[in-house]
Amino acid sequence: MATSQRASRSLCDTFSRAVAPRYVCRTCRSHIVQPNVKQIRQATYSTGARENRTSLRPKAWIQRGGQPGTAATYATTASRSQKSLAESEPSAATDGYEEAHTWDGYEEAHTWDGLEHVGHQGHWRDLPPRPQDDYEPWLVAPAAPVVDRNEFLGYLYVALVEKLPYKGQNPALQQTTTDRTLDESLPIDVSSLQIKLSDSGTFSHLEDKTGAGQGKSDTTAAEASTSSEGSSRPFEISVAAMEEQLSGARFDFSSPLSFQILKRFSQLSGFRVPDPVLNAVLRGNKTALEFVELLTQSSKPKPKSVAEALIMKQKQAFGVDAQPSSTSAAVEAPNKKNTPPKPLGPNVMVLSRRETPVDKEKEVGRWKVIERELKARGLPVLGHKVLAPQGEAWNETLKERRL
Amino acid sequence: MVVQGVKTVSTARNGIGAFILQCKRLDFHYCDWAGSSRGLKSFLTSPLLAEFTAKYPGIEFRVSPRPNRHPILKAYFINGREKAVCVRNLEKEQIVKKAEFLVANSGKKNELIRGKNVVSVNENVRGIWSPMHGGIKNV
Repeated sequence: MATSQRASRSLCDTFSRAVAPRYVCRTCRSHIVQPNVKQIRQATYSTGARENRTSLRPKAWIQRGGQPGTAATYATTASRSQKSLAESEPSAATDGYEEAHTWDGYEEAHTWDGLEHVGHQGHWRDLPPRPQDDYEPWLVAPAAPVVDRNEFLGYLYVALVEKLPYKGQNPALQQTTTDRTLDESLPIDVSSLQIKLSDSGTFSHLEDKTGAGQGKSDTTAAEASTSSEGSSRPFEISVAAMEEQLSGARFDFSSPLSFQILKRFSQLSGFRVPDPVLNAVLRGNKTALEFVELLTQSSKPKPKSVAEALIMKQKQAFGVDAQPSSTSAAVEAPNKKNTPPKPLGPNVMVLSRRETPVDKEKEVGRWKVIERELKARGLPVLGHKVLAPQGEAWNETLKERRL
Repeated sequence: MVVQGVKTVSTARNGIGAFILQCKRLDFHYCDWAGSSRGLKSFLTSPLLAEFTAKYPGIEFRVSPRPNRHPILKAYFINGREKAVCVRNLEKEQIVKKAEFLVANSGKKNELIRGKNVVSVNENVRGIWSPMHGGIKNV
């Protein structure tokens, strides 16, 4: 059987040799000339393998014409391997190595002088800061984030007063908007200023009020300070006065002034205006007061679990966590989202953690018996964590309200 | 001869006079982390929960997490039995249907009724027919 196979193979070989054309293209020729992997391996790992390897490496770039770094072409690679096979004798290898040492551009290192550092220097945070690492951030996040609507409103008002161009008689406000800050050095009476809007309802400029001193109300005033560091002079203006001036006002997003105002607002409040809020204001053509509402909503921490979300919703439904009445009055057209959610009934219990067998025992009143028996036997008593169903709290609230 | 009615005391049967739901408690178990609880979580945070629970004030509803497990609805019936339905990867509308199914369920073991005669427990209100009474025809 084996003889017949061999015979058929030899027949096929002779036939293919007979059929094959005489002409061989250049690429195929190079393929034919190139030795196969087995031959190279034999040549490399034959006697004196180490010497051969050291001989092959300098030969590699000697073949490229003594130019280290230049990429070898396919043809040169083939010819190099051919040559390396031919020069695989130990005498030839030593000649090549000496030839490499004699090249002018290469200098062998005997010490590590000149290196920037030896070994890994460590993590970047462990390294001392370099001068170029030092920078001053444009926004420093405060320790306690702002979540109050009136504070946001005050910061927006201050940003508007600082950044809007002034058209009036007060010399302290005549300087450019970029230099103007409401600090102690400037004798500015903010209550005498009026934010003027353009015909399209966007912020235009600042003007003096006709009757100065009218804006100061005797009602409870919201204190707004120009910066969180406390270096500036706080001024007082009522929330109602700010809302009156900002009612119906919109941002003009085609103007660079809006960017200046929002940037200053972020610096004052320490709160980055989120992109979704800006998008909602831009797409929905919302007013400045609605912008403040959106910011207040987005600044509140999001509930991390479903139980927390349900508890928050329930509080909203019962008005426990309700916002002040001025908030709802500020929004001109309250949408569906502002309506409080429907409360869950007294038959619903929301548990913030998994109900364990211990909780089940506690519920039916068996746990105290088990606990007593465990203690009597000197066994540890676990499961002290009380599973406080949140439903109880709001049911109590409802009962109190009914009474 | 006067026809006498059958003297009997009416037996209490659910649905005659009053209908009492057999489900007494329904638990919603979910996982805060796993993706298969997405539908149940959206159901719980939607107004559907308040609507559903308000529809059945006689049933106790409990919402509790069950970490690292698929979401389930577990119903407790007054016959002492429990039934649990896995609601993994279901949308909130599908979950409402499952909850409706559990609430309306009798709590009994599932029984195949194919090939069995339906036997009524109600007595005939007309009484037993007798050829000697009523509607006698003279030929």
